[in-house]
Amino acid sequence: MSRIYAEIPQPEEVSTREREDAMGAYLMMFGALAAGLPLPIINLIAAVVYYYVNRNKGRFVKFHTLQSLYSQFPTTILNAGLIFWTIRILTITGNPETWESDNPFAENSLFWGYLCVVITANLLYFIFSIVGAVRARKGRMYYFLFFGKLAYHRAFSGPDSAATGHVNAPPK
Amino acid sequence: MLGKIYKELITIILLFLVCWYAFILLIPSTDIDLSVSSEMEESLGDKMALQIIGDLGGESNDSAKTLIIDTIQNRLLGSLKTSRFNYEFHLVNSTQINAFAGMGGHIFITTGIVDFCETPEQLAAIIAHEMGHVEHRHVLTKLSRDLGVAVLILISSGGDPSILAKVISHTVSTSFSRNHEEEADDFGLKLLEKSRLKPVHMATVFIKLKTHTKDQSIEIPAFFSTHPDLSDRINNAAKYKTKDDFSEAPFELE
Repeated sequence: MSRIYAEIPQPEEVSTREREDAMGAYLMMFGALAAGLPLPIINLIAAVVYYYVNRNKGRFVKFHTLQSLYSQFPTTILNAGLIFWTIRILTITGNPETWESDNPFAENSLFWGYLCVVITANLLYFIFSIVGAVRARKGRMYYFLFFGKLAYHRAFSGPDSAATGHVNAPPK
Repeated sequence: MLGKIYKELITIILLFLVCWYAFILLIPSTDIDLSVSSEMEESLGDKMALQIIGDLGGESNDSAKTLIIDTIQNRLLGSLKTSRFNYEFHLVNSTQINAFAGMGGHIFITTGIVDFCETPEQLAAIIAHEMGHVEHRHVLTKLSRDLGVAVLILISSGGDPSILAKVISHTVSTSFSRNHEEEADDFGLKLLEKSRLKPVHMATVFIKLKTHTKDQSIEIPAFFSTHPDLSDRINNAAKYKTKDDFSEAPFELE
């Protein structure tokens, strides 16, 4: 049995306030991310708080805040992993007196590969969040891979029938 | 919808793993440099050996110690079926407790470390470890990484002696990386077993070096100071398991 989803609001149906709140979900992350760099959990907490504050401001805002929140998880986990891995190398295997000749990070291709993945993931997160914020400001839907569908599923599950023939449509 | 969500979740996880693997492959390895041939390394090693021996006070004529080194050398080389290089063991006059590998099969053993070792088996353990550095070409790798292959080729083709001096001081004064030490230990432990010497001798001599340093409150012996994380390596050496039919054949030296 297929689940019923609520109708997606079209741009002309989304108020300026809703658009700004939806856009704020993405833009707020950058401030939180910068503040939370040493402790990646901070930006996740900020995202959760933002979601709970804005979740009742309509499905459009709820969708964008959820998408922003969900997309935080992988980057937060990856960033936290990188920080803990770095600390572990420095504290357990490193000897500052011999770093010049015995660099604990050298020859650790697993770590460097992971670092590259983390950088790429953060860049992608940054780009997609900017695009998401711009789309939200225009009253448009924008679906990230996986997180978009998940947010849509959570935000639009409901009794309304799906809309057809409009600019904003469910993810395919 | 849920089916699509799961599919995209799997896609993201796979993308993450593929990217990680791809980046690991893309990152150039800094561990091996094969652009310098074994012959060239031997040539460079010969030049370095002369300089090192001179710096350390010349080769020793002590016949008893030379006999010990020769006996150990014969046993270890006899167990080494194939080798990149023709080994040359140099007993040098120095009270330093030290042994180290040069390039191209040269191994330098100070009279200080011969006196320090209680048994020839302990000395054999140290030499086996240094042979590990030689076989894995660790000195060449370290130098080529730090100085560049071009400099090494310049030196080996009869280049500036001042560069040679710098290379030598660099080799002697800096330590190998952790991975290199572990590789040399593994090689040494296996070689000891093949030579019918208990691998635990390596742990014993490491413990002796550690204890000596603590008891005497002296400057750390050179061999010890250039070998980080000795505790871990003592554990590894002590845990090494020999084959069931292994039996030791101690050196017969008076």
